[in-house]
Amino acid sequence: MILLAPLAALVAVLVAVSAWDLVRGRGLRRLALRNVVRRPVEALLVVAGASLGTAIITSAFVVGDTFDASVRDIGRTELGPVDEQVLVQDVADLDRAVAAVDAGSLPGTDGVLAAITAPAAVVAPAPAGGDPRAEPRARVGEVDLAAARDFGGDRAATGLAGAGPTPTAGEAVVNDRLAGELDLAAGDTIDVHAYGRRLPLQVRTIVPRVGLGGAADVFVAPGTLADLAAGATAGEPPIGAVLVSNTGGVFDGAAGSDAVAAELEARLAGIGAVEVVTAKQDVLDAAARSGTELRTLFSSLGTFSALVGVLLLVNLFVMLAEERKSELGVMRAVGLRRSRLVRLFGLEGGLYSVAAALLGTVLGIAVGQAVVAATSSIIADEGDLTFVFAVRPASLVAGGLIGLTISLVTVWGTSLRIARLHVIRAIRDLPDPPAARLTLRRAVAATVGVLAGTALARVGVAGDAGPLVIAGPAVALFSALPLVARLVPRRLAVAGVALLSGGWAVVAADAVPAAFESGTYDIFVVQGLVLVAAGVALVTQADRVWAWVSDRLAERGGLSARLALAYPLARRGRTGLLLAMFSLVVFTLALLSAISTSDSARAPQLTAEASGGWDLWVDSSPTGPVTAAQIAAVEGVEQVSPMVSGVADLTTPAEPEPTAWTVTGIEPSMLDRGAPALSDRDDRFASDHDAFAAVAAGPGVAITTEDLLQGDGPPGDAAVAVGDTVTVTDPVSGERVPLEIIGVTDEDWTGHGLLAARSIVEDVLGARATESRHLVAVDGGADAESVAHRITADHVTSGADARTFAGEVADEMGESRAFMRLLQGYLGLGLVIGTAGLGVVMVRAVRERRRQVGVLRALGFPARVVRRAFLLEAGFVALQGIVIGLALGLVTAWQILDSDAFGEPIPLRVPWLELAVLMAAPALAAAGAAVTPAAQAARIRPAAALRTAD
Amino acid sequence: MSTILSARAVTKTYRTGAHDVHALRGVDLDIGGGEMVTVMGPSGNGKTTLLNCLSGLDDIDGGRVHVDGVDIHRLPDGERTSHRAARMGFVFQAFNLVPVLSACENVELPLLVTGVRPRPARQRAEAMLGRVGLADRARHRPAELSGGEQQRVAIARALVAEPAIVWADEPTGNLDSHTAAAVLDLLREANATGQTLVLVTHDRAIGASGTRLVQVQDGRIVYDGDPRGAAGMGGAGRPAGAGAAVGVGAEAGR
Repeated sequence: MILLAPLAALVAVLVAVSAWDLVRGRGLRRLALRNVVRRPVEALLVVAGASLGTAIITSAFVVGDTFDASVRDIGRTELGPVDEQVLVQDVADLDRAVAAVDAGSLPGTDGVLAAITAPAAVVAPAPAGGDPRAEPRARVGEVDLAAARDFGGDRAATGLAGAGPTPTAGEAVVNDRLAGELDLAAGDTIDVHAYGRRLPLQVRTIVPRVGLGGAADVFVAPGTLADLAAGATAGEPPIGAVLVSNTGGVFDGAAGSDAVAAELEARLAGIGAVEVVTAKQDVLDAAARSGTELRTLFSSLGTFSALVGVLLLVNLFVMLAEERKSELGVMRAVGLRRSRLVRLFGLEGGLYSVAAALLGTVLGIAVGQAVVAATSSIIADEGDLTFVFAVRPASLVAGGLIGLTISLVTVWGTSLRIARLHVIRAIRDLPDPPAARLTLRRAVAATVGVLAGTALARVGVAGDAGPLVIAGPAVALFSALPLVARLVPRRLAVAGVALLSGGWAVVAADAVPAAFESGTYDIFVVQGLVLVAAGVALVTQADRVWAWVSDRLAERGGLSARLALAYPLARRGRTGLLLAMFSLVVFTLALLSAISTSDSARAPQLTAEASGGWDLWVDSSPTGPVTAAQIAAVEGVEQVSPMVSGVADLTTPAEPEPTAWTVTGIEPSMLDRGAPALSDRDDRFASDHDAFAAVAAGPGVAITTEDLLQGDGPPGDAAVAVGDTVTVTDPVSGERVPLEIIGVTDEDWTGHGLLAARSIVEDVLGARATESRHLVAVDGGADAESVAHRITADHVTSGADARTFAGEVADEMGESRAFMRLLQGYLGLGLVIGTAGLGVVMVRAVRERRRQVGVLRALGFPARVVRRAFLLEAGFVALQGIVIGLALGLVTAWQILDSDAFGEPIPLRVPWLELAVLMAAPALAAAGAAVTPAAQAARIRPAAALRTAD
Repeated sequence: MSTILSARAVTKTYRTGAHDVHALRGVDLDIGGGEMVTVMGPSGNGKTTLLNCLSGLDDIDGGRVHVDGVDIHRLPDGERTSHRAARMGFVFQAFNLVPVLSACENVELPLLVTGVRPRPARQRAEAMLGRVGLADRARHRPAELSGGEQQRVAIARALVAEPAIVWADEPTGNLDSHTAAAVLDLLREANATGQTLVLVTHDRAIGASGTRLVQVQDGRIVYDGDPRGAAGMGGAGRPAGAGAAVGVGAEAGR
């Protein structure tokens, strides 16, 4: 948004000039408007083509807004008026904590509420002829509903307005999420399973999952959880919480969270195991992060499509100028100043741009909706995030403004170029001579470009900015072209510059690895642009090769093919623009396809690395977990290795603030069937197995993933490395133990967090470390998925959730592939622009060559030869673009896969069939775009065409 | 001298909005093989339309045009195109070379379209360019040639397939007098070898240089005969038919 002000200023200046000309410049207005309506269908195509760029940019904002709003909505659905939570690990301390918090009014707050919660499995009786329905991971809570309704002063925000009085023994109030999953209605009975006991309850009321209604799935009578837990020998005890509502609404109350949290910390200083969590603020921060990340992802990738739109505009305006060359020359001859010519084109293009920006903004909302719907279906199984479609007016303004700016800058830049026409050559419709001479101006511009590119590269290397490291040398090299062309033939100079720029874009990450560690999307975008520019420059210099092809074709009687090649080869600049349009689209499609396929092919390897020889793992309710013996008794189970897990406060050198994180304790039996793979380990250990054995057996060491204590996204500087020390602290007892990291894994498929010896975890967490996780191996002939299903079904009351390693990896890969498909679809919008562009270009080509077609027809060329020539020309351009994009996409995919972007180098697997299908799309689109123009060309009557000219 | 072209009662009307412009109003004309017919007349009186209709480039509204005994306007477009490729050559005032092809490639087009294999086509094109004095410019594109050179390439293109009739519409209109004379010499040479030449011109000297002059006015042929006998050409003139001037502007802007 920082860029918006200068963008707005630039747009304002350009629009002001055109507006002035529109209102006051009668002559310019008349000419511009007549040009607009001269060919209304083509004007509409120009607007449509240009609008897609705006649509893509706007859609990126819409997607960001929606994710932002959706995650923010968690604040509404699960927190409502709650801004801070004081977690009280020992429920016995809850009353003291409430008293301490509420002693005297807490500044900036308007409500304090006590609550007790515990995890449990909830089972609804089987309907006639069906299976029982179960939710193994529900949350049961106790809260004073009367007080809760008035908590924060907004009954609707609490979600409990219609909850009625606090449940009595045997009653339950359930939220609509659980009711939906178990198909419950008021009056139904449910069983709550926790601490090895079953508690039958009758559903009295169903409340919306909003605010406090989302804080627990089942509200029960006070004392229920204590009764259930009483006498239990295992299981995570209930936890207390003091909920605090800040003054202000559901979302704006979070603004005062830091001050309230500080005051809470001070007031609770004397009370044992309490933790103050700025819950609302954390959710809103996460929302902003995820929104920004997705907005960045889609807008970065959308850059490709937007650039295709820019190329289309440039191409169209160059063709417009070419078509009107004679009349422009005459206008200049009769006294129209160059500046007014620029303004004339600026005004005409401005009208297209404004219309395109408006249309594109509306289209962007639709595209955004489609992306959100697709993403929603991809991550539907993930559960928690409910999509709330949202569009902020500021986003629409930003999207429209960026699109308008791109169009206007393109239009005015092209207009400046067009206005530099030579009057006599324009009037006589003679081609411009090649600009062979190195003028002082060109030399200065080239020198400035070289210096600027060099400076960019230096800044990039110094600041570890990958995009600049790639772009800087490319800018310098291409800028140096006029200078180099003085020393060597121009063809050689262009080829050399293209090869050097493209080659550097491929190897830069290996040469300056520090600059590419951040892995931002901008790197991918800049790399793609430089590669495509280099590829197109290289191919357009290969006209000798094509001339040879042309001659061979002519020898075989391919008259159409010869004509089809002649025009694109003769107009390299224009052909280059078209090639770049297709290459950019195909590059992105091929790259994503190759990466996705290569990544997916790793599934068996990843499964083997993650499983350590086990087939599945079982998580169960910490308040009443399934035992190893119970699992071993299930048909098909061969061996079980138990693990303990719990939540502790962890600190690392990079994250000194304690963060609640899962800690898992392992036994030596875990290594009976092998060991999971490590991406890095301490040199003291000869193998991954040895490192795991040391963890299982010995004190003081642990294994984890490098993103320990990190949120979404790459860990960057906060990555945990071998040799670091992680301190594990029990938030209740304060017991702590430092552990040295001796091994790091790439992925945490099972959510084990920090792996340490079972004895260590039990020593630190005591009873809060529950044996709620088991690794399971199945009999040789048994199907792991079937066994997992049996374990889950047999032990639903223990909240058992069994998953196979192979299935989990496959699901993850499937989601990843589906997201890649979504991105491909999104980038495929560029294909729409490219196709529209090619169509318009071909229509204009027919008009431009009308006289030539007339001559050919007069000479005896059949209509079918003319038609075929136009079709082949479009196909030739598209084919070149496809080949360039495909080759560069695969090279870049190989380079990315060969780097450590995925943790370790991955062999490139080329999905030939998929690529063939993907490449057929642009080829068919190109052919489709040329059908009508080609038919028009074939219908040209020689006399009519020649009369136009003579 | 056998008749190569025979036109009877040819009419052509252009419809422009509410107005009909009668460009040709019942033209009768016979042209013998090997003739050099020059067509003259005021601008917009139907000269180019006559050429286009007689050559089959444009459709006619009434009448008949036989070329080599074939009623060309009865032919479907494809056959008429093939007939044109085999029997006719064209030279235009604006040269009308294909700008993205070299001089040699332009000249070989009529050969390739009539099915001559590429290698002999290239040899014949190069030889033809040699005949018009442009052997050393064969690889140049039109933009790299002068106006006179371009028109010589256009003449080479028109003659290379040895057509029975060459239609030339103001072939010297864009050239200086010296270059025009050279171009005219080339056309005369072709005519001298037996090719029929129909040449539309405004230039009296060129008009007088043919074996026969046809004067067109208001869509009708008003003189058809020896150039020396035509009005304005040193003779008294001999009307070829009567009729009112209706076709003014028939060529303009079409």
